[in-house]
Amino acid sequence: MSRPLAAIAIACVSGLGWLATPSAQQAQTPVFRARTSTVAVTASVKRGNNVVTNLTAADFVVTDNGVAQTVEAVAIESVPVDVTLFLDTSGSTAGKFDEMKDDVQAIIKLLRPGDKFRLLTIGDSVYESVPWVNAGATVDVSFRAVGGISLVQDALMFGLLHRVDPVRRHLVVGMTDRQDCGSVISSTQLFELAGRSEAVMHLVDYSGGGGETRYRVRTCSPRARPGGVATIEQAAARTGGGLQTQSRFMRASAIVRAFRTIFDDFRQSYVLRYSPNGVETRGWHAISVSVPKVKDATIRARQGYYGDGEGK
Amino acid sequence: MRQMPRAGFQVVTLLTLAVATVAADQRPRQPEQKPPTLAELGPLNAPRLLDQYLAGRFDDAVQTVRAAGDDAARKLRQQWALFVPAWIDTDEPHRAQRILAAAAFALETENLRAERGDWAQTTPDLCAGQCVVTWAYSLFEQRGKADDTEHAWLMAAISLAEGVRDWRYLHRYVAPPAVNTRPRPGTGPPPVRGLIDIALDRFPKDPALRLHQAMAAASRFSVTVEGGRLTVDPFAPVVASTNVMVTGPNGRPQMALMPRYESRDETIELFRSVQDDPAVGAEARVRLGYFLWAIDQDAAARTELTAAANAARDADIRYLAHFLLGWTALNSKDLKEAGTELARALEARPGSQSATLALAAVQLQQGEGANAYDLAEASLSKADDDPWRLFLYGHHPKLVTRIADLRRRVQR
Repeated sequence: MSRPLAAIAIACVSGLGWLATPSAQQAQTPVFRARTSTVAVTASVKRGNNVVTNLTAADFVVTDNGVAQTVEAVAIESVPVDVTLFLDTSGSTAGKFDEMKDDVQAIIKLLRPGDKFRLLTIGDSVYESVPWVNAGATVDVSFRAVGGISLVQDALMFGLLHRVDPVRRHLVVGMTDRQDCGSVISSTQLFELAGRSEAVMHLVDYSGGGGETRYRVRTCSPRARPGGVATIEQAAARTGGGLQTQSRFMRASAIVRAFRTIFDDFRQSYVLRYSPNGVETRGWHAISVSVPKVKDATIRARQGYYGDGEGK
Repeated sequence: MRQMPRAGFQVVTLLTLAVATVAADQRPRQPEQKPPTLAELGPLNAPRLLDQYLAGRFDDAVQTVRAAGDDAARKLRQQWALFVPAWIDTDEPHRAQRILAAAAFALETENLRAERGDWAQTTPDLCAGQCVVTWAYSLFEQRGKADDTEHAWLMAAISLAEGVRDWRYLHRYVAPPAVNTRPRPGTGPPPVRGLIDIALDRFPKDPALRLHQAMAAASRFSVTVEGGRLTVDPFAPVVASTNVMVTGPNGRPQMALMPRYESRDETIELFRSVQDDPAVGAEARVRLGYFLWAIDQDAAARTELTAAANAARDADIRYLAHFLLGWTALNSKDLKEAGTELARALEARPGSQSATLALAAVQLQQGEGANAYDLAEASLSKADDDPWRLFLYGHHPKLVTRIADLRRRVQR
């Protein structure tokens, strides 16, 4: 585990604001023991479209590089969340900018007291269009269409690069067609670096019907690598997130609907913590999470982490 | 460098010429058409708009064209050659200023077309962006001796063409014997020589023009993919050959295919010719360094980029040189070298995004995530006009200021 990851995990387990919901507390009293290397895994458990609730530590089977681990705590997520929303404001979506402004405001209203929000957009650079604000804040957003470059990967990288307070969680939601052009961070680097982030990154397929772009003078250069779209999706899966597709016929406010779905799932997910036993500390650690007692469960969790000493 | 097999080139050329000649012979003769009237090419009225523009009501004139819509703006393109010469001639004492106004406004209207994605390719039947800009430049010959105003217009026109990445319009590799034709709008073949090639007749050895000529030559190779180079499959076949103009048996220019490595050598020579110039030399070295890296000559690329970093007096050029040294090292997984060069880039331009992201990637891989987070959040919180972002679009970011400069000159 990387140093910052370890630091975050340690701070979490000495946890000032770490709370479990009443139902979880009834099921199992959380016990957190500080260790020098604690791994935190956010896991979403669903059966069909329904979130599976009231699971305890005993219900989970977690392996680290194939070695079964003792999960020390399970808590339904009720901690405050830092939400990074990335809106792909490249030329192809220029026709929806007015709707996007309303959607951003609606999303901020979905957050709960204690949550924080920021908005990233793209043009000739990645812009922090709304710096960190508290839930419920009123924001003034404006978008400007540019042609040519589409810095999707750089924006997602900036999204992941956030120092999270130990008692909080970080959710990154990217509304994008994943068609990159001109990013410094390649799709393969994004995939690699996603394995070093504690954030959970979800993508929502947001494309089509972009309307007229007023500025299309530039054409794309350099081109995205073939397969880059799939690699970006794999990067999201690596963090425990995924890609949500939606009908091309939906209007832009599908942004709010998609965000609500992701956010609700995230808030009802579990945090599993363990101190790795019986595995080498260095290198990539593949994590597997299962819930044997729930048949046909769909579990979404980070796919692994880099251990201490990696690359130091 | 490899030389193109002469026999192979001749075969390709002859085949191309044969097909073109047969096609030309079979083309039915067009009956002569009566030129359209101004009213038929309305609702826009070029002479009236030029009166506004010359009077300093620049935004009004431009906004009128913008608001008129695509069809009207396309019809305006046909008005230039038909009606603007008469407008220029109506005030002989101020002829030079009227020529400048016409050329500047034509350029601005083509910028509007480009914003609408309508730069388009000029063909014998369609006078589009290239055609209008070439016509506008032809006016300067009537204006008199080449001067700094003509140079300013040229730099603006080059910025626009670089934005749409129409590199062949700016510079064509012409196989000898060279040909020189300058079509009027709506007539004749597309320009055979590039705009810069023609401009160099009036500004011989001008360093800025020669830099852009080299950039245009190099950019024909810029089919790079993210973090990669043109040799990466499946793009390699794209650069296997290039179109060149040759003089056909009937004395007319014809297209022929030739392998790209000949013009690759030409590109390097073009950069070398200005690399020691005090004004543009450092940028030439940065762009040559990137070009060499893109064609797999890593050691030579590093030499040029290092020289550029040492020679650069401009912070942007120094940033670009160090960024490219660091970024290419990152892509070859040399984290130590990458970290050093990217940190130097950020000394030149603190907080700039490209170097910030690349350095953060290095730090994350080195297990120094806390530093990466701080670096990224500090960068996001400030406005940035990172010169790497639009590096492959030449000087297009300067178009706005160059048009503003032209407007000032029109008002003098």
